Amino acid sequence: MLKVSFVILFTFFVLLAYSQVTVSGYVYDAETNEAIIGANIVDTVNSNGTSTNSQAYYSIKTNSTELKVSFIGYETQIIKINQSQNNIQNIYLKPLAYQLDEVVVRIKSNKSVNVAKLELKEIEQIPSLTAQPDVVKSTQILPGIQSQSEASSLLVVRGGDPGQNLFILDNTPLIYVNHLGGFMSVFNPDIINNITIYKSGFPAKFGGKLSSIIDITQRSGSANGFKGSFGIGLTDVNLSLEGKFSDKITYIFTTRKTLFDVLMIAASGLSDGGDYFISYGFHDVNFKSVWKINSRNTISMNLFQGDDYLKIWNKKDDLDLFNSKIKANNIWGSLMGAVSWNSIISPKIFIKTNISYSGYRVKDLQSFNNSINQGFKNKFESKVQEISLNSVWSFNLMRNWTLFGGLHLSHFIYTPYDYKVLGKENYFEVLSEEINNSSISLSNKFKFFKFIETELGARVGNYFLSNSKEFFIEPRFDINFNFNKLGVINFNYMQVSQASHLLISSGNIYVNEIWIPSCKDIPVSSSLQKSLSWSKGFYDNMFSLNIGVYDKELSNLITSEKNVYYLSELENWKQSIETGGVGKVYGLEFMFKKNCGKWTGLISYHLSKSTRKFNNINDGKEFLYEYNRPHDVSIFINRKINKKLSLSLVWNYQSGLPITPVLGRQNVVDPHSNEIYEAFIYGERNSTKMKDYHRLDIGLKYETISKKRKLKTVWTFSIYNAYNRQNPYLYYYNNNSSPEIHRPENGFAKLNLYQISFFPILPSVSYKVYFGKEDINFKGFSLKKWLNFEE
Amino acid sequence: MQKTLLIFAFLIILFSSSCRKLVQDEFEDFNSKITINSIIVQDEQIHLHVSLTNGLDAYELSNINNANIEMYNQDSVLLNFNYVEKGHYISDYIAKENDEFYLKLSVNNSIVSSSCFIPDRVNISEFYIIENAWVDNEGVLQPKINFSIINDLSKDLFFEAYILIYDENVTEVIEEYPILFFDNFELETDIISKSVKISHHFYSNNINNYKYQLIIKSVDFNYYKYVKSFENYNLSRFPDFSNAGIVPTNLFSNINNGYGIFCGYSQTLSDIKASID
Repeated sequence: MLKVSFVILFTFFVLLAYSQVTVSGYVYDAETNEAIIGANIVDTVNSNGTSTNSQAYYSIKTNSTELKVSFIGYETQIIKINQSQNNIQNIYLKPLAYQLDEVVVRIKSNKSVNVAKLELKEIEQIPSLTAQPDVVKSTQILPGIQSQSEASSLLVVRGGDPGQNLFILDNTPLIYVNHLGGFMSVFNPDIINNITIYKSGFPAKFGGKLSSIIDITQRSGSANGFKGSFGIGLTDVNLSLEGKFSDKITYIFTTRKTLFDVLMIAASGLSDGGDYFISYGFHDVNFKSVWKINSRNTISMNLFQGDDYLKIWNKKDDLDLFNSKIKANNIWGSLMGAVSWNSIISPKIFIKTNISYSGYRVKDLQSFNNSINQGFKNKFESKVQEISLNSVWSFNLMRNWTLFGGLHLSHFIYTPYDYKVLGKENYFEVLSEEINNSSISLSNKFKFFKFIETELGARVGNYFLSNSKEFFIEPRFDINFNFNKLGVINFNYMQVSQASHLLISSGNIYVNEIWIPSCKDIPVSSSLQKSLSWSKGFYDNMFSLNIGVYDKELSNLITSEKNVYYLSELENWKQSIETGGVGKVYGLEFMFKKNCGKWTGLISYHLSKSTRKFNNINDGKEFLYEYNRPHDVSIFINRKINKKLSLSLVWNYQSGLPITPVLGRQNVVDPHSNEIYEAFIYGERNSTKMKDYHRLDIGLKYETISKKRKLKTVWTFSIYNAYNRQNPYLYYYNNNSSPEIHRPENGFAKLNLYQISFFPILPSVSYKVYFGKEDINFKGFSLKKWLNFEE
Repeated sequence: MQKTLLIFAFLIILFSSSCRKLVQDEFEDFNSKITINSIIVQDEQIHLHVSLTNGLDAYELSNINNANIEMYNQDSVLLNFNYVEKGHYISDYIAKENDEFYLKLSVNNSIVSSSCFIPDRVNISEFYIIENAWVDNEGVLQPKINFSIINDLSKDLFFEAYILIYDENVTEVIEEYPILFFDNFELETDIISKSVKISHHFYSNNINNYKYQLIIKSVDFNYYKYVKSFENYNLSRFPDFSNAGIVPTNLFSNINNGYGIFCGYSQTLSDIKASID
């Protein structure tokens, strides 16, 4: 029976493949040579189609002599096909000339709510705290993606933990993605080409994180000569330069640096009450170079480095006889480097291979000196390092069957706690753990009866932990039923595993992110997710509607009873955590979008419930997850007012975060002093909630193009929290008389509940000028002209 | 210029206005319940503290001076308690190893109950102090306490190690604090050995002449759980910006229909020793 089935299946596919040729290649922007991701390639005879992947690669089997290639904002092109043999054909699309009444922003419509795509044009329209586009925050207008807390870049995707999101920058994982403690992300929009966010339906090649994959593709740099941009905002200055080293090699360099470091030193130095100077800042640097060796092969190199730093040191005190000097220097950030090779081996086979290093560390250096002793210097460091080799390939086997495969090898070194007294023999034990992860992935994409498209695959491998080994198999299944007028129905099933865990540790100002590995006592976490969704486009996709439901089960989670760790506890991190946690999340997602025209935007809604259960927490009873927000609504509106001016609004509403209430007060005995004092009686964990969160952000963008110099400038004005809503950041109990937190030693007092809020209304402005080679001419330089005040 | 100043003043007011805000100043009534606090120590009289819980609106918690206390030991002997002051009661009975206590206490019509156990004392088989064993985060050499105790593989045992540090002439306790909580789970040896880093206060002088005494408390499970929860409670009691996600921890209680703790321990004191290099 099995043999008969195999023969029938084989004959079916052979018949399908009959008299067809395979055409493959890359799709580029004709002016900049930039890769075009998501371009549509359609066979003009039977409307069979495909789209370019994140390397702008396509492959299509066709019996037609023509292919229609299209992408939003570009002229549609018809290309001729040589039907006598398979061929490789790179396609260059010409951008459409600017027209006021044409498409402004067309958000690409997706088959399900599991996967979302964002392009730079869209990200640039979304107002932010700093009046500069923020890649990660832009994703938070999508249903099912929430920020962990006010203005934070830590994401909670479909009720998962913030540490369960994998950020991939040009095929390389980036471990830490925040600046300013999470108020900004490290992704510089100047270098971003495209973002794809997977909330479920991970392709088999992706794994290692349970809740989401955020796949960010960077630009390659201009192939048409030197150009760049310079911007300045309230938080930072930024510069981008791009061009070509030769006809085949392009580059792009971007950097950002804070401005307020020096201002903070001056402000703290001038303040009478403070005894210390304080300086805070960040920077990031991105470099990418692409070598298009020939029409088939491309090699690219990526470098990223980004750090935040907080420095505190004391002022000279004339009354201090010992001339004490205290310095604290906190540094945290990431370093990433990668080399990738993309190759079209034959018209049917495409291979992408990538070798990368990615590291994250948080470092705290302290020193103390005075005139009577030698003082001390110490260093705390927590870090993660990853070296990876990834090779993925696609094989366009038949018209209706594409095979995807991959090999993934990673070596991780985790050092959660490394404490050293500098210049002395180190008596502290450094607990480093290593994990080796090897896996293969295989996935089959089939199309049946013109309306069924399915992808069936799995990721299989081993985690070699420090004292044990864990085998994993992660089945992935995705099926789409395209009923044309009735829309697309999608069902998805996937399993994922994760061998790293994020702990939130209390830091000097903000929290620190500490990563710990799975080991013999801490099993690998896993999740199983099922989702069902329906999508439909209206009026030639001017409007689109996505509705979906999902159910997610998480197992072998870790946490602590308090949820936040103190650095001193991390020395014995294995003893201080709770393991074996179970999470349950289910929800409904809704998104209605207007994709083109003068008015664009979306309305998204997420209804969900996320719970956790640990044996030793909350008496073993299930409780609401710390970041459970049952209702989350986002409304985004963009209006192109005229050629120069556009206005954006984002309104966000979220249910308040859960908190553990205080029910009453009791006397307790100190077990060591035997003294009696007052303590709180708390209710069940997370059984009540803070006030609901809502906020309106407004952005106004003013673009001008100088007629003489053809110089483009952009002014962006934004108002964060436009109606000055005091959203709660934390709650605490206190008495009326003192702003200080009430402590038992202060005696009895009537207590009230207070909230602390972070951001009131915050106006912001940024300015950006885009220049080309012809603009770098200092002869007769005029600042007014350069800033484009005069046209 | 004046306009600029006005704008700055407006922004400063906006910034400062939104930081702290009253959310709630009236709370639901909290039904008062009896709270008992008693940690029974072997070879010592038994103390009980009895009070009532109250809501957040209350200005103070009431101590109870008219509690009806019925406490029996394992031999069904009823222990007699006398009221001292401020909710404190004391019994003439001296607690011993292996004592079990059953408590029933009533105030007006409310009744609470609990029980606890005083475990066997443990034998300290080895105890020594290495004076300069490790460097603390300020670069100062600090001592390490090493000790071994006899394990009883037939029982689940819980311990607290406690250190007393005396001056050179053993006339004054300079420092005292718990250094370790541990149990005998998953151990299959007859001896439990531990090595614990300790730190002297930065203002301590002549530390090389200090003398040390180790106390090993054999604690019942209730004491073990209570002290663990007490540590977590204190760490999560005062949230701030750097730990805003912290989740408060309730104190462990083994009082049926009430709050508080009723537990005990026996203790073994080591010889007083000087450190070695």
